[in-house]
Amino acid sequence: MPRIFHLIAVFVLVGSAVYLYRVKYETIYLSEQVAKLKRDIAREKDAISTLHAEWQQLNSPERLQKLAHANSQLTTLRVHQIAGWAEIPDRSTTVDMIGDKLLSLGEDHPSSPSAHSGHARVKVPSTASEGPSNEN
Amino acid sequence: MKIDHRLFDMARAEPLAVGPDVLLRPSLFVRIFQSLFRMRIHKSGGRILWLGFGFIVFYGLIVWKLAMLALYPGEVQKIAFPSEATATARPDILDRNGTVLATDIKTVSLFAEPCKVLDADEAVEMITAVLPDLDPRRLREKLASDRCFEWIKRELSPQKQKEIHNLGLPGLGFTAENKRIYPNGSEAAHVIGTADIDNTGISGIEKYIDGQGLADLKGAGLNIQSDDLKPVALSIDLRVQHAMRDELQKAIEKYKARAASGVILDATTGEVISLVSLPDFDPNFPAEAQKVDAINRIVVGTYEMGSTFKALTTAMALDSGKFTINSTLDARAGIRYGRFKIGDFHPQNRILTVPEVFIHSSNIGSARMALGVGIPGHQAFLKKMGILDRLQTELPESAAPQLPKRWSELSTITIAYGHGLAVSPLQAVMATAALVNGGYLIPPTFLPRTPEQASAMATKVISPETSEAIRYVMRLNATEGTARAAAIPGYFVGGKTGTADQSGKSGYDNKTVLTTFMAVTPADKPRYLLLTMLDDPQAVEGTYGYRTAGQNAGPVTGLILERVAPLLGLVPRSEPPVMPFPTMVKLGAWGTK
Repeated sequence: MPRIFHLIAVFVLVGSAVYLYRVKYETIYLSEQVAKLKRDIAREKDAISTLHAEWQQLNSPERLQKLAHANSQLTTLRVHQIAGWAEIPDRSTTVDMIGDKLLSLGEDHPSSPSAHSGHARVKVPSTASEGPSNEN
Repeated sequence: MKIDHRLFDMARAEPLAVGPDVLLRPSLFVRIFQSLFRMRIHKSGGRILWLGFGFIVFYGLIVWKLAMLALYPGEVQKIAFPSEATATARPDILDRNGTVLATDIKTVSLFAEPCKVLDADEAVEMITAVLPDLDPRRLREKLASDRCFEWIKRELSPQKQKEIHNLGLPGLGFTAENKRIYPNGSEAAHVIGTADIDNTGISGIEKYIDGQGLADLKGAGLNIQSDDLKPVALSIDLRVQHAMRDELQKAIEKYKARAASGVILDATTGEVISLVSLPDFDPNFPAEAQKVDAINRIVVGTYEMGSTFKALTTAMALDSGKFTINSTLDARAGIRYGRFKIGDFHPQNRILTVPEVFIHSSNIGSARMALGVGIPGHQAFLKKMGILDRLQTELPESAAPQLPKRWSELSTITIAYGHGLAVSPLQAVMATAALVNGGYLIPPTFLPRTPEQASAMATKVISPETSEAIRYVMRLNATEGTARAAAIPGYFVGGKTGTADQSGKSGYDNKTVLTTFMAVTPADKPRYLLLTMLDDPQAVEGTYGYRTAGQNAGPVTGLILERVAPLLGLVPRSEPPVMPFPTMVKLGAWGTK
């Protein structure tokens, strides 16, 4: 019986040594990874703050104003250019000038399908609804 | 042979003699394995001894090595890492919308350990080849010394760093440092201030931040990283700041002024939205800030504010109860005082009501109001309005007002129309804000503040009725009086002009003037106060030969207002407000009918 215990003890000892070895080297490897990642993060952060500074430098109002003056026709906003909702006029009804003209000339209103080739588009919806019937 | 044979037989025979045991005999492999762990004292004694000896040798070696390491540490190769950033991190400074005003970027600096430099002459030659702007003589002195640390060059470009690195010189090293960057250049320079090459704040908010504990942390030797620090937000709006600066720059050109400055204050919270003082400086080059001309005129300069002070005088007169909005003042002739005679710039030569005194900017009328209140009352009122004491803000810079040496009746007369008492413009703006916002004096700030925080620290200085009267006369001045140039339609602007003679070597001369304009918008429910100041503007084309505030500071204020109002979220109204001044109408004040 004691020999069995000895045997178990030896296996446990060897096993734990192997395990410890592995854990130790894994830890070293991981902490190297952590250090590397930390370094990378710090580098990225530095890069971000540099880019932030550069972004703001490029977007500084003075520079934008110079560019706007050089490259666009826009001028400074005047107060009369600002309007409230109430001052915006309603959308006007669209005027079909050609249709009106045709009517005044006494032409047929495009009700008959064969009138003009120009009215083909008007025709399309009606024929299209006929086309794919419920055969399927 | 025989004996051998016999021995062999014995050995063989012995187990046989055991008899039945032979059947239980273990296999050869098991026996060998068992013998490994057979604990027999006569056998194990020797083994334990050997083992013990082995351990003693092994640990002895470790102790020996430890002792050697402790005794001769010089043999150990020390690996040097560049220390993290010598110039420590500072928090970012943002404007009220979160736009970056100041931030840190990492740069690399070159240092030398002269005690490790082998050949100083060779090193000098090679370094100056890469960095031609270094002085070779000074560099040689540095490298030939026996010190162990010298800066060679701060803030290298990555390209130069690589070139220096490739020289392969011993005793040179690089270290990462933080460098302060102000991406908007001169914009808001007076508020932000500057930091020196060691990233220590030396003026403006930068110095204020150091005073808030950052310097203590550094002093304690803590290595501060930029992400440990919360950004500092200001009350400044960069867009408004730029618009104002741009317009003031144009004003300097147009009116050939020596300097221009302006400030926008939120009258409800005391936040400074924009502060411009021209000429200014670029905080990226801290040396520029030392120019005499580049002082912060709004905070550090003190000026006799001229007629804009009449708002204070009028409020004092009304709030004292000795005058009402309908009181009349005799402006038929100037006031004689000793050898002085006080007259009006736009003489009316008749009896004026209080609103008329204001819109005609009558010195005589204002002086009579102040005399009616009396010297002690005048002093007490100005004291209450914070005019007689040094105004402290977050900015480390401040200026004490210059009071008359002896406050005589003449002092009261002149101070009534803004001469004889020099105050910082920010102080005047703070007092005027209290006059129009319902009577609450709120100390101005450069940090964001909510209306609740503001009302918690506000002191009530005048009655709401007096405040309404001041708003009324300022609005009246923008429709009928000298402030018309700034009355942008839709924003219901109120205002007051001021043109002060500047005192030269021999007292006042009327060669140079300081023109000011104080605007409030919207006048029925004040939100913003805008002050514009032009130093020594000239009469130019389009000003009809005048150089008074109504011809220069007024129109400039109008331009600024028109440009910044949309940024400030003010909506122009097509219809004027209904009954903006009910009390004035009830009292039947001049101009309401």
